[in-house]
Amino acid sequence: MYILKRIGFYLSIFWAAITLNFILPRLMPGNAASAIMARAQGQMNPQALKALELAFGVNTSASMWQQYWSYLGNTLTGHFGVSFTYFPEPVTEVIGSTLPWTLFLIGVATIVSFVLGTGIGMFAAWRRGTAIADALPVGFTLIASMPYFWVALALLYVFGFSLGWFPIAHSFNVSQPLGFNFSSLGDIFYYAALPILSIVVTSIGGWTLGMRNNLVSILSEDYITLAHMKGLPEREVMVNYGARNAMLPQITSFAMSLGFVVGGAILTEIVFSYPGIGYALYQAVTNSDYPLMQAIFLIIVTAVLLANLLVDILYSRLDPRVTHS
Amino acid sequence: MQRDEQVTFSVQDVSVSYPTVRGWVQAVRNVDLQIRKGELVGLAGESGSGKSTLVLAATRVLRAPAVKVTGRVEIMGQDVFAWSDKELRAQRWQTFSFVTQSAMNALNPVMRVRAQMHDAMRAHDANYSKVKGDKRCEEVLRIVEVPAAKLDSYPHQLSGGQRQRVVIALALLLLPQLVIMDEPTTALDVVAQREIIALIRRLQRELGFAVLLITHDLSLLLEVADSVTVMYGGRVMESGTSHQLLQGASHPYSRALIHSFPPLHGAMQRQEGIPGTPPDMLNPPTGCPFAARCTLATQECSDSMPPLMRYGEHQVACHKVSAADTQGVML
Amino acid sequence: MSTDAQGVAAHTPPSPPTGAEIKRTKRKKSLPLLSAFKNAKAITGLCIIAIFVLMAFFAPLIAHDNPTAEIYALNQAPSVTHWLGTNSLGQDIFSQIVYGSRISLEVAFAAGVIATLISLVVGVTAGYLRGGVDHVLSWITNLFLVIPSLPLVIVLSSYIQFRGEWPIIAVIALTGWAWSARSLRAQTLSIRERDYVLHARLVGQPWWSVVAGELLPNMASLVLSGLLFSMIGALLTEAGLDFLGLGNVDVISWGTMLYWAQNNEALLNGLWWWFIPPGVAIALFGGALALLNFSLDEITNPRLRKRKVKIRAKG
Repeated sequence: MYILKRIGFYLSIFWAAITLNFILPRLMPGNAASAIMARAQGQMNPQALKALELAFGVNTSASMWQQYWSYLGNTLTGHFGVSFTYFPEPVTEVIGSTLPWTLFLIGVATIVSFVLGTGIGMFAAWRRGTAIADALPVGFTLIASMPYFWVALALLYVFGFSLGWFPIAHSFNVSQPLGFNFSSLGDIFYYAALPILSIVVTSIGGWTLGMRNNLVSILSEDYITLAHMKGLPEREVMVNYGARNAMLPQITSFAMSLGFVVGGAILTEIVFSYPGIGYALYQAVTNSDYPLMQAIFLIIVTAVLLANLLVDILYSRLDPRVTHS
Repeated sequence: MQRDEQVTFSVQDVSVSYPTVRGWVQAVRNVDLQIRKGELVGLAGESGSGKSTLVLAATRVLRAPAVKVTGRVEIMGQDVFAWSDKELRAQRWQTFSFVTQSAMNALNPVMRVRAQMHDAMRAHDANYSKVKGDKRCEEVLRIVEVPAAKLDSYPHQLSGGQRQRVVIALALLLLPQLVIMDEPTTALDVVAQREIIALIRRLQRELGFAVLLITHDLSLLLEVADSVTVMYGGRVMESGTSHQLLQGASHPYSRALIHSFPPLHGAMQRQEGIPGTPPDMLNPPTGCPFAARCTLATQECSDSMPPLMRYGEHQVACHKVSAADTQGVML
Repeated sequence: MSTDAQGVAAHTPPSPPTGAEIKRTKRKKSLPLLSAFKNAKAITGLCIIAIFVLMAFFAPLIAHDNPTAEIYALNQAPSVTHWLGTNSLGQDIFSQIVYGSRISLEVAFAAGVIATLISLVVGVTAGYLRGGVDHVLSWITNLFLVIPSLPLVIVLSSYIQFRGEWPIIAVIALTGWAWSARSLRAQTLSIRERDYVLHARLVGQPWWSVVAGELLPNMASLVLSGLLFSMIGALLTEAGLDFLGLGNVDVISWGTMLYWAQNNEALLNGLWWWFIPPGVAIALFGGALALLNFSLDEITNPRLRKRKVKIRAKG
C-alpha cells in the first residue's frame, strides 16, 4: 500500500541520518575529535567522557562495526550523552525543553502562511487580468527573495526596537513563570508574534505563487469548461473544480518545503533569541557541543520525516487516484 | 429553406473570429445551420474547419473579448445573444447541453460521479432535493446502460467507454431540447464507437431531443444523421439530407471525404487521402478555400468564393457543380 | 484580407489590426528565447543582475574607500562623504556593499552552477538509464531532498573549518542539488519516450549523442530554471551561513556584514544603515533572479502568460 511504502522510505532516511552522524566526525580532516576530547577533559565527568569517546571512536580498540552498532543502540534508546553548553543537563532534557517552542513557532507560522498564501493565490488566479491580481505574484516573488533572518532583523528593529510594540527576545516574560493560565498564553503569543510574522512574511510568497500557477493551469482543463457549460455558479466552479484539484500539487510542495521552513525557523530563533531547538543548535555548534548537535540534527530530521508522512497520508485522502486504483 | 416552427437551433449567417498575437483569425465565415425538433444533424469537417469554434461561439462558451461573433443564433426561437448572463446560465444544461470531446478529461478527477450529477441538478432545479436527485442519477445511468454502482466511483475508475456513457448521461440529466456532441466517439475504438452512436440514436428516438453531432467522420454521419453540413476553411461547402448526400454528394471535398473512410463491412477498396493542407485562417484565401487542394479547381475557383446554391434541401458551394449534378448524376 | 464575392451576403469579417505580420517560426526552440526580450519581468531581472555584476567587476572604480580599513569616524549615518554611513568599527559601509558583492555573487554563481551540474548528471542518468541505477540515484536524491539543508550545512560547517570560499561553495552545492535533479529526472523520463529519441536510439546513436543531441536541447528551459533556482538558494544559504558566523568571517560579504552588525549590537544601537543595506542587496539580487525565473515560467508555459486578450469562459 502507498502509505507503507512511504513509511519504509522514511525509515531508510532515518537510518541514513544516524549513519551520517556516525560517519561525519570520523571523516573530517584534522583531528577534530581529539581536539574536542582535549577540551572536554577538564569539564566532564567520566561517564560523559566515555559517551563522547564512543561517539567519536577515540581511545577505543573496538572496530568500526562495533562502534557503529553501539552507537546505533545508544541512539535508538535515547542515550545521547550530556551537553557541554548546558552542562550538566543531559541532551535529552535540553531537547525536551526547547523542542516544544520550535514546534509551536513553526506550527503556527506554517499554518498561517499556508492558508493565507493559498487563499491569495486562488484570488490571483481567479481574478487574472486585473491589476491587483497580476501585481501580486511579482510582489511576492520579491518578498520571497529576502533572507529569512534579515526580515526577522528588520521586523525586530521596526516593531521591537523602534516602536517598542513587541518584545525583542525570548519566548515569554522571564520574570513571570509559565503556568496554565490565560496570562501565560497571552504572553506566549505576544512573544512569538514577531518571530511568527517574520516566518510568515518570507514563506507566504511561495504558497501564493504555487497556488496561482497550479490554478491557472487547471483552469484550462476540459472539466472546467464542462462545469461552465453545465451552468454552475462561478464560485462553485472555482472551488469544487478548480481549487480542489489545484490543492493537490500545493500539498506536495508543502511537504517538500518543510526543509526550508525548518531552516528559516532556525535563523529566526537565533535573531530573536527564541529558546527553541534552532537556537540550541546554534549554541551547540558555536561551542562545538557535538553530543547536543548530533542529537538535535537527528531530531530535526525525524520531525521533518514525520511531517512528510502526515502530509502523505493527507494527500492520499484528498486524491482518489492514489488510494482507489 | 423551410420556415418551421419547430426549429430547435438556428444559426444564421454567423461568422466567428478571434484575435491572436499575429492578427485576427477568421475561423468561421457566414455559416447557416438549422436543427429541427428531434433531428440528428451532423456537422462534418477536418480539424481546423471551424466546426467546433462555430458551436462553442454560438452557445457563448467562447466569449468576447476572446472571440468576435456576428450573425444571429437562436435556441428554441430565442436570441441567444440577447440573454443576460444570468438567463444564459439558467438556460444552460436545461435547454441545451454538451457532450464534449475528450471524455477522459471532461470529468472532475476528485469528485465522484454522483456528485458531478447532483451539482448540475442543484444549480438549475428549484425543487431540487437529494432524494429526487439520486433517483434521477440512477435513471440516466440506466438509460445509458452503466451500472448504478458506478455512481460512487471516481472518473479514473471507469473504462473509456463507461466514461463516455456517463458524460452522455450527464448531458441528459435535465432533459434538454438540444444536445451538442463534439467528437463523442473519437477517443474510442471502432466497435465502441458504433455502440455509442447506436445508443445516442435510440435515446434520441425515445426522448425526442435534437442532436448536433460534430465529427470528422462523414461516413458515420451519413449513416445516422438526418441531415449533414460539411464545412471547410470556416465555410459551408455542402449540406443536405443524408439521403441526398449519399446518392449524390456533389462538392469535390465532400466526395473526397466520403472516399477517405473505409466502411466496416464491404469489399476492400483503395483509400485516398486528400493531398495538401488546410488553409491559413489568418489570411484566408480569396475564393474557395478548397481550391488549392481540389482536383477540379480552375482560376475562377481561386478568384471568387462560390455562392451557396440551393437545390431544395441540398446546398452546394462550388463553381463546378450545376443543378443537374445534385440530382445524383455523377460528374 | 479576404474579399467576398457575389452571391454571398455582404458581411465582411472584422479586419485585422494594422501592422500584423506573420512571423515565420522555424523550430519551436528558438521562439522562447526571442520572447524573453519582450517580457518586462525578464528585462527587469536581467538589468538588475547586470548592474550587480558590473558593480562586482568594477568595484575599485565605484567604491573609493577600502572596505576593511577601520579608519573612518565611527557610527556615522549616511551622508555625502559616506553614502551608506560607517559602522562601529570605523569602516565605510558603501564600499563594503560594493566589494562584498564579489563574494556573494561568486558563491551564488559557482555553487549554483555546480549544483546544477550535479543535478543534471544525477537526474538525467537516473531518468535515462532507469532500473537499478535509477532506484539508487533516486533514493540519494530523496535523501538530500528530505533532510533540511540548513541544519545539514550548519552541522557540516562545525566539522569543516571554512578557509577560503571553495569549501563553502562545495558544501552549498552538495546540499542544494536535489530539487532540480528530481524535476530533471521526471522530464528525462518523459522525453525519453518521444518519437525522435526512440528513433535516435534505434538508429544506433551512442547514448551520449542521444543525450546531448536530443534530450538536453529540449530540457534547456528546465535546466535554466533550475540554475536560477539553485543560485537563489546558494545566495540565501551563504548569507545565512555567514550571518551565523560559520562562514569565513574575515572576508567581506553581505552575509558577514550582517554578522558583524549583529555582533556589535547594531540593532540595539539603532545603526540601521549597517544591517539594512546588505539585506536589501541580497533581496534585490535574489529578487532579480527570481523575477527572471518567473518570466521563464511564463515564456515556456503559455497558459501563465499575461495575454492582451483575456479568455474567460463564464456564464
